[in-house]
Amino acid sequence: MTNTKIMIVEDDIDQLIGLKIRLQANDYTVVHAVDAVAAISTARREQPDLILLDIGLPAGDGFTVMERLHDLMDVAHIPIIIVSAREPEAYAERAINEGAFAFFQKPVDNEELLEAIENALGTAV
Amino acid sequence: MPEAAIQLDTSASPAVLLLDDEPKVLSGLKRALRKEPYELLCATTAEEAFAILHERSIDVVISDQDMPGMTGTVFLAKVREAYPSVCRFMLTGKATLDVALQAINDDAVRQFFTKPCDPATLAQSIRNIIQEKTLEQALERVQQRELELKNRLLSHVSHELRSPLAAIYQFITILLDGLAGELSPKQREYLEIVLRNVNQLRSMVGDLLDCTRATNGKLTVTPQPIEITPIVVETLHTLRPSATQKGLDLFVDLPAPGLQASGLPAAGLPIVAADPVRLRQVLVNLVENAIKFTPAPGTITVRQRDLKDEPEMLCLTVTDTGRGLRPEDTARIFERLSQTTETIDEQRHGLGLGLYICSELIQRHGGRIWVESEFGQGSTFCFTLPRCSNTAPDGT
Repeated sequence: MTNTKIMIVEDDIDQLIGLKIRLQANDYTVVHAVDAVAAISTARREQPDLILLDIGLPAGDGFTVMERLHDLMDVAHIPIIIVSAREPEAYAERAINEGAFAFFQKPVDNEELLEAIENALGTAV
Repeated sequence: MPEAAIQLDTSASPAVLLLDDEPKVLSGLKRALRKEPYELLCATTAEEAFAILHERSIDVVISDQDMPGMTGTVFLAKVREAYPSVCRFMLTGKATLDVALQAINDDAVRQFFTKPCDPATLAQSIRNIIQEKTLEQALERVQQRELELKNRLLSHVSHELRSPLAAIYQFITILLDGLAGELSPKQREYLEIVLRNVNQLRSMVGDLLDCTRATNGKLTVTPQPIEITPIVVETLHTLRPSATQKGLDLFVDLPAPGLQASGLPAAGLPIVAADPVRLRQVLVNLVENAIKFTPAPGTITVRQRDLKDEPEMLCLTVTDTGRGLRPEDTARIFERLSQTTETIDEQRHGLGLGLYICSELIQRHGGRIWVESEFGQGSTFCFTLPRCSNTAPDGT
């Protein structure tokens, strides 16, 4: 799957770099944004095939980002996987209900995340 | 969030119960104590008194001794048994003074007052008791809040530790996977040492988190119908390298579905209702413990056991040929922070929370966990899981 582009929205730089290296090692092209505002503009500019979205972000939270993305016709179709430090009991159901493909709690298992990404891309229109 | 000072709870009105068969005594006392800051309830028989005690939260009960039907000492003894936190006073005439003294000695009664009693003295005594109780309750609330605070702190800390640990783990594995260039053998070796220790840290933090969740009532399991054997086989497979490294054999002795030599189908283990992730967690804990405490050459075996008096449960056992446990260790082994008193050669890894977490997880499945062990003879850890109810007894 060369040239498949993934956007990571994450404010923790170390997590970001680590994940980027892993994804690039699996032949994905990676772009990123570090806050809620940049998430929207970067998504519209870069048109990624999938978005990995953190919930705890500066300038708004992941749910706000997701809602905004779903409101914009040019990016509403992009599958989103939430990757968050928060407890699944409180947030996973909400994430799915609001349109996320999956919810992962950090620290994520690399294999499981990669599998979920493949599945999400398989279902993308 | 700033901590509010503990308020003495003056909202619930204290209540005092008077029992005397003579209505004149009751009305006299009631009149004398009418300005006191507590509610006064009256009864003329023991039955009435018990009815009131059953309905209301009473702080002090004052009983006459000489009553038809039931004497004060008998009544108060019953009160002590049924409502141990209620303070007991006795009213006694001169004729029953020695009974009262005996009651004090027996600790059946806190204080007695001879009739006719001075209302001021009685009132003061009651007020003292009520003050005492209020302070006791405040102390309990402080202790409770301390405990909650500690739990929250522990929970918060273990949560926060995960992010940096995740970053370390990610980059160590990135290096070991050769994604930053090839490694020399020495670099690989040292990085693997780091990885081993990071994994221990992750495991400890994971245990801490599960432990705080269990304490806060937030440990969840999601049972589903699963086949146990593949999970056991797979889990032990991942643990075998560390067992072999220690010179130990790891065996799985479970029936597997398939064909027997006779050509007849063999039933595997019955389907159970269990959370596969949590089941793996329990198995890893038990087997890792066995590996830790079994010297080479040794054997660790996972088996099924038939429990005749619990046919609705499936029982698995993990048996080792290790040191075994003393009775005093067996009793506490599923508690938090329990570690045995032996200190021979072993390295103390882990926080001593693993078995507590196993116990909590198995209980949340509706099962039991216990250990059978004799010092010097090895140990067998056993746990049960509920079989799926739509499974026929013969396993189909």
